[in-house]
Amino acid sequence: MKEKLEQHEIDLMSVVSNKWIKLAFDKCSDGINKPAFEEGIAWLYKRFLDLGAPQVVYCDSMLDAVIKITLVKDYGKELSDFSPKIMDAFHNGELDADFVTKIKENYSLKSTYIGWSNYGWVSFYDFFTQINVLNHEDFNNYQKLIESNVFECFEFENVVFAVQPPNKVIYNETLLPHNLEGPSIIFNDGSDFYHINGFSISHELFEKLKTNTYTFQEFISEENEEIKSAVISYLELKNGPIGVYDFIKDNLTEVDTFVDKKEDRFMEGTTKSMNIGVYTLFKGNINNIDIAYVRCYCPSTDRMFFLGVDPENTNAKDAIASLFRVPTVLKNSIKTISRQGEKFSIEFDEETIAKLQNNQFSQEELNTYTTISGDEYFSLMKYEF
Amino acid sequence: MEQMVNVAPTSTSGHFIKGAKNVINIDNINDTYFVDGESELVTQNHTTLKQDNSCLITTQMVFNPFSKMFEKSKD
Repeated sequence: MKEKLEQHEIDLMSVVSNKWIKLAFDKCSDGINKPAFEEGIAWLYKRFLDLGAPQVVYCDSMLDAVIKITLVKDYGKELSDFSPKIMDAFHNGELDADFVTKIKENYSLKSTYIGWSNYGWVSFYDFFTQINVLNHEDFNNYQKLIESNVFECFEFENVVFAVQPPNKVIYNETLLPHNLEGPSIIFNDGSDFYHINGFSISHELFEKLKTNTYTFQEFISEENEEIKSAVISYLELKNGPIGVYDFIKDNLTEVDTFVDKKEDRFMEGTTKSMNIGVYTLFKGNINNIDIAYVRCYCPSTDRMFFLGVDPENTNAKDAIASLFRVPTVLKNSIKTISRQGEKFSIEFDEETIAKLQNNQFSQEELNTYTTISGDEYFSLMKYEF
Repeated sequence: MEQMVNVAPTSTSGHFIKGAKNVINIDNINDTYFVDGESELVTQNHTTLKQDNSCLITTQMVFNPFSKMFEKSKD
């Protein structure tokens, strides 16, 4: 067994990695390599299903595929009954509700083992094949199928619907789809998708951001923290820190900042950015409603978040701690707290864990929550990702 | 395939417990779960959190200034 890589093998790692990145992002406009796909799918059907080669229907987007599948599978129609007008009707909300429901259900029929989502693990084994650690006939055939650049695939007994890759992907330096000026992913049929550093946002939101018509009122009404963070990212990337300041200055005033600097051992797995552990309380008023937010940064991605807090808070430390909840009956036996995004992981002493394992707390006890102070919160906090 | 339990079913991407002996939902309104045994908390947007011991998973609350109430944070 090989125990150590030679230098040329180490060098090959980035070559193999780049081959797959280039296949997706730069060669996508070439579309599916149809002979390679058809040979690969015929092998797969014969090898694992003992079936003949299926008919292949090439589709320009996921929506194109699921509409065709819905027509044939659920409505007994022929492929020739498909018309691009159905796509337009879908986008304009003019399709029958049951048909739309079926379309949405049929998205889940896509396979997990054919398409771009497999590039990561297949590239891993491609590397080991190239350095002669592996030579598995089935994997080699499977890799050829995946390398045909099929984006997604829906397989049925006699037919497969193969989705063409996007014809354009615009991405950032960390290879996440990203474009401040327009769509980051565009398919052959014109369907497009918008991303800010990998986070998908709607076309409507993108247009508002691009035309500076997205309002602060809309921002504080947004319930999804990731979307709020994407908005802040857009403003910051487009106009620098002044862009964020301009957006909030009429409604929010900085009140207090708390900095929680962690030991190096708790920074592994984070970006190690200077922003980690910096919490700033902002307060303001909009339409006679008092508002307050704590600005903080995601330790995993360094994205900026504004989290709503009770305007009664007077300092950033207690304000951020006020977002943590624990069943009151367990409050005094907490050993540590860690967090991953909006989820907290709480460790307790052994006696409390035993009681939880043995169902010794009532439902009412476990459903009655309390908060802890900023001092308690930060003395117990371990990892934040 | 190893079972993963989504402890943030209302989140867009979900947060998944992997490798635990048992995962019990003790409050489906606030998405609170008791995770028995060593496990990992895995999600798309954040680094994986290794949990060496049994733990309780709770959800961050955020204040909605319009309703003047706290609600579950969503991502």
